[in-house]
Amino acid sequence: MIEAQELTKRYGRTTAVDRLTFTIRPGHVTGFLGPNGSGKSTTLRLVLGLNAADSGRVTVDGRALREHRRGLRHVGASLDANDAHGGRSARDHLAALACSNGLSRRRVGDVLAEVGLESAARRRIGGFSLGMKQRLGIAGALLGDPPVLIFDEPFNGLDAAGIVWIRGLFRRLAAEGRTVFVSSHLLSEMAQLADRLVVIGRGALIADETVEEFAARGAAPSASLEDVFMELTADRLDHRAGDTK
Amino acid sequence: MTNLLRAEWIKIRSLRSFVAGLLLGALGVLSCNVNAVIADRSPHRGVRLLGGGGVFTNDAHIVVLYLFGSIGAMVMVSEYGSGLIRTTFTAVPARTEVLAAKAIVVAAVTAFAGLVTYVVSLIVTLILAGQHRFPSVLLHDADFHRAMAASILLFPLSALTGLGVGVVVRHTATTIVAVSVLLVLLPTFVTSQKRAWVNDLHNATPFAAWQRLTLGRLNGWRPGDGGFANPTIGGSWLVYLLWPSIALLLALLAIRRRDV
Repeated sequence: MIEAQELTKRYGRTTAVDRLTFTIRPGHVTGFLGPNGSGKSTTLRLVLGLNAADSGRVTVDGRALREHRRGLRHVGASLDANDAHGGRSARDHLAALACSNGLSRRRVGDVLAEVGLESAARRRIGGFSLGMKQRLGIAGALLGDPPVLIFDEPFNGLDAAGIVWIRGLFRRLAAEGRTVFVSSHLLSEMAQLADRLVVIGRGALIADETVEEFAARGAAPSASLEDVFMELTADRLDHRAGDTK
Repeated sequence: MTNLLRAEWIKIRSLRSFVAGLLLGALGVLSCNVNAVIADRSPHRGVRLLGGGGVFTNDAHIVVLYLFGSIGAMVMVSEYGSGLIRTTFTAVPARTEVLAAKAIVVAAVTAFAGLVTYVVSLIVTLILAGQHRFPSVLLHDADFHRAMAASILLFPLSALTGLGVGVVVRHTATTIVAVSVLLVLLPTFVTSQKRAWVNDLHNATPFAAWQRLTLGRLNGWRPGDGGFANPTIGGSWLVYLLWPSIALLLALLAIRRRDV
């Protein structure tokens, strides 16, 4: 379970995350939505202890992640497909991660098989496509068999088969009782995948509820998730195309 | 901690660019030393070695400071530049331990590179100087032992100082410039025949410390040269200890506080 209480992060005069409070429950896939620059990635970094909050607190299963000496057994995360050194092979990248947390080398083979990268294990990451890098990031997140999983835009670069695979994987992980928290811009994908949604705009919470409850907020009875999202975030957009006067 | 050391070892040995950097760095140092002996047409070839001053030339030690300082810096800068640092700190939230493991592995690898480079330089120098056997007088020569230790330890000193600078600065180009200025250019800027404190600053650089530690009987300095106190042997070893220590301490403060 991920619990954020009044989480706030400022960069100079800009408030990236504004008194954000939410709870991400186990056994569900929770989608994390918000317009560009709304503070999603910053929030995920705060959850992982990569960034320090100015005020408020966020815990993973009751403890801040920075309080753990090793993290992979507590939370697995893939924030950016490029968060790996291009000069290393996929196997060496994962072997170093596994070793740092005292995990067996066998786990490296297991997760490479899980994400379908066995045949590319010895290739350098710099030569991977974006989709392959996404799979590698997911492999790293799964290494410690953690109860909590966090993914930032995991659909980027995946082909149709990859998207079907990742959807099945996330659902299976949630069905196993894990907490799965997925940020994405793809509202149609979230409509198919997520059980619950956390929606933010300009760093502040707009919604923390089930997909059905969120969809029911639309003005029109048949409004799509996209329509409701556009409606609720309309006054919190930082970047809008075609705004020239 | 053992697991972290193994993890950092995997990271280092699996990067071809790092291994190539070590080899090229060692070759660069070796070529400086060999070139000095070849270029020396005097009948006193290898006199520096036989005088207890070891085999490393001034040029070679500048190459060590620059190249191995940069190699140490790149170990950290490449993690920041590639974004790998986020993956690393998610896996190991204990950032102090990550820095300690990196420092230990980098120190061990570069000290080994220093040892190999020194031994090869020594053998080649002896051959080129027409010595077919290791001069037994050097076996018991304290000056030679000190010079050898100072030259070998200059490798980890440079690399660890570079590692610390890399954490503090984080950006590739700026880090390399900072390493060059601190380790190579600073000693040439801070020299003065008039002000004692500037002279003290000069003596507090690894450049000056290495020079003092590698002076033997035949090329020794004279106390009071330049009118100021010259570096002492004890003080020079202290410089060897303090530079990487301060760099790593600053790195520790930065790495614990900063967002990534």
